Amino acid sequence: MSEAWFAASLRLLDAARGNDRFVKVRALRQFWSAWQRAARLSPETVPPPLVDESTGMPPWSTWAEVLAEQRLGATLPPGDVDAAGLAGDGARARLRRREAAARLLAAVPPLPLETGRVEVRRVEGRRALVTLTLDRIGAAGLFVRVGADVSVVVDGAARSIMVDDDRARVAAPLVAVLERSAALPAPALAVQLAASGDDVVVERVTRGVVGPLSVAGRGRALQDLAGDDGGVLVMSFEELHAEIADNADNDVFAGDDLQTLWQALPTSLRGLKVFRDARVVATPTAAERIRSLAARRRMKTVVTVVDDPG
Amino acid sequence: MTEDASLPTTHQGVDAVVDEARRRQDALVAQVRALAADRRALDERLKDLTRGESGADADVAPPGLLASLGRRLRRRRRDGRRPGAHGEAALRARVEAALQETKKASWLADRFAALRQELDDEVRALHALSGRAGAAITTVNQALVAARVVVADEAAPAAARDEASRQRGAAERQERVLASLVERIAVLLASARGVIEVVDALHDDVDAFARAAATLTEGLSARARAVGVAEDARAVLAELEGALASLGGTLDEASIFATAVSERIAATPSSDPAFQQSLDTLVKGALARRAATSAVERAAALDTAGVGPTGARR
Repeated sequence: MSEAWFAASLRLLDAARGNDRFVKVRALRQFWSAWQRAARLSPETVPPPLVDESTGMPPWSTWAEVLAEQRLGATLPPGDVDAAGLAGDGARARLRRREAAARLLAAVPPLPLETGRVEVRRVEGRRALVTLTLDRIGAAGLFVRVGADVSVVVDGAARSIMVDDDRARVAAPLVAVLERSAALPAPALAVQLAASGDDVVVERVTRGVVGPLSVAGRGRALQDLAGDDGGVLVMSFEELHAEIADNADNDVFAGDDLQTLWQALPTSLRGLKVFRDARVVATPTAAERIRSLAARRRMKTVVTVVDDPG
Repeated sequence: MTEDASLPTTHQGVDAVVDEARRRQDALVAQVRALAADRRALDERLKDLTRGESGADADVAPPGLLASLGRRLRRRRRDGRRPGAHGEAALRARVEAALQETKKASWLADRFAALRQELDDEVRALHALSGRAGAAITTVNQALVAARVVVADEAAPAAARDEASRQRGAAERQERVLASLVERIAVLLASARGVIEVVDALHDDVDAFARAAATLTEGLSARARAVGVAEDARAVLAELEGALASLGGTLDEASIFATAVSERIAATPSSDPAFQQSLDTLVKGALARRAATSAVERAAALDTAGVGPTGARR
C-alpha cells in the first residue's frame, strides 16, 4: 500500500498550489518525497504512512516519528546516502541503511509539528497591531496554518502584549488560544481570541488547511468522490475580515452553513465578514463529480485535474 | 581461545539491548497513538460544543452559542483562571522529546549490533592469522632441520674438500633461512598488531557509546529512562574488554612462539664451533633488532591509545 499511496499522493501534491495562507506546499512535497525514499531504504526504522481514515493523512504521531528520525539524521556525520554497499542482511548493513535513510530525511527542511510566530505590524498610541501565526500538524494529520491580526493595548492595566523595540512577547492566553483552537473554524477562533482579554480587538482571522486527502482507496471523508482508484486533495481556506464585502462560500466540502455560522457571532464581531474557499486537486472522474457538486450548490470551487495513475 | 566462550555471551548481551530498546520504542509509539486518539476525541467534543449541546448530529450552531462561549471565557479570565492553562502543547512537547530519545536509544542499539558484528569479523581474522603463523613456523622448523642435515652431510667428507668454502656456503644458507624466518615472524607480528589496533579502536567506540548511553538515559523521562540499556551496555563493554584481553593474549602468544623458535635454533647443537658461533651471532642480532623494534612500536602504541602495560585502560 505504501508505494501506491506515496505515488498517488505525490501526484496530487505536485499539482497543488498554495500561498502564504497555507503551510508551504513545496516543502511538504519535498518532505513527502524524502519520506517515501527513506521508508523504502530502511523500512525497519522509518514508519510507513499509516493513514488516519477520517482525513486520509498520516496522523500526528506518525509525523512526529518521521521527524524524530529526521532530527537523528541531522546529528549524524556526513556520509554517502546512495552509495553501493547498502545491501545485505547483517547489522552493519542495517545500520548503514538506517543512517542513509535518516540523512535523506535530514536533507530536506523539517515540517512544523507546531511553530508559532508573532510580528508587530505597527504601534499607534497605546495600541499595537500584532500578527500571530501558528503552523501545526493536527492530531489527524491536517496541516493547519492559522493567522490572526489583533489589536491590543500595550500600555495599560489589562495589557496582553509587551512591545520592546519591535519585538513582541504575547502573553500566554493569546498563544494558548491559537494552539487550542487551531482545529476550529475561523469564526469560532475569532470568538475565542476576542474573549481572551478585554483589550483584544480582532481585525482579521485566516485559516488554511492542507487536507483531507483520499488516494489509493484510503481516506473515507472523500472516498465517495475519489473512488478506489482516483484521488482528491482538498486545501481549504477561511478568512474573517472587515474588508470582505459580504459573506461568500466556495468550499463545497464545508459541512456547515456559512450564513448561520456568521449569525452566531457576537455583535462585536459582526463587522467582520467571512470568505470561504477550497482549492481541489483531483483525478478526472473525481474532478467531474466535484464540479457537479459545486454547480448544484452554486459555488465557484477551483478544481485542478491530474491524470489518473497510469 | 577464550572468545569461543565469551562471544556468545556478548551476542546475548547486545541482543538484549536491541530487544529492550525496541520494546521501549514500541511502547512509546503505542502511547503516542493513544494520545492522538484522545486528542481526536477532544477535538470532536469541542466541535460538538461549538455546534450546540444537542450533540454531534447538529450541523449548525444555534445563534448566540459562540457569544455564550465568549462570555464564559471572559468570566474565567475575570475570575483569575487563565484560559491558556491547558497542557496539550506541553504534552506534545514531552511526547516529541520522548520519541527523540527513543530514536537515539534504538540507533545506539543498532550501533552496538554493528560493532558486535565487526568484532566477530576481527576475531575470525585473528583466528586465521594464528593458524597461518603456526603453519609458517612449522615450515621454517622443517627447513632448519633439513639445513642442519645438509650441513652434517657436508661436514663428514670435510677433510677431502675445501672446508672453509663449504662452511661459508652452509653459513650463507643458514643466514638466508634465518633472515626469512625473522622476516616472516615480523610480518605476522605486524599483522597481529594491526588487528589489535582495530580492536582497540572498537573498544574506544564502545567506550564512547557507553558514555553516550549514560548521558542519554540521564535525560530521559521516568517512563523512557533506559536503565536496562545502560546496564546492558556496561555488561557488553566488560565482555568486549574480555575479548580485547584475549586478543592481547594472542599477540603475547605470537611473541612467545617467535622467541621459542629463536631459542630452539640457538639451542640446536652443531658439530662445527665456527658455524655455531656465527649462528648465535645471527640469532642474537635478529632477536635484538626485533626486540628493539617491538619495544619502540609498543611504546608508541601505548602512548597513543592510552593503554597501560597490561592492556588495561588508563
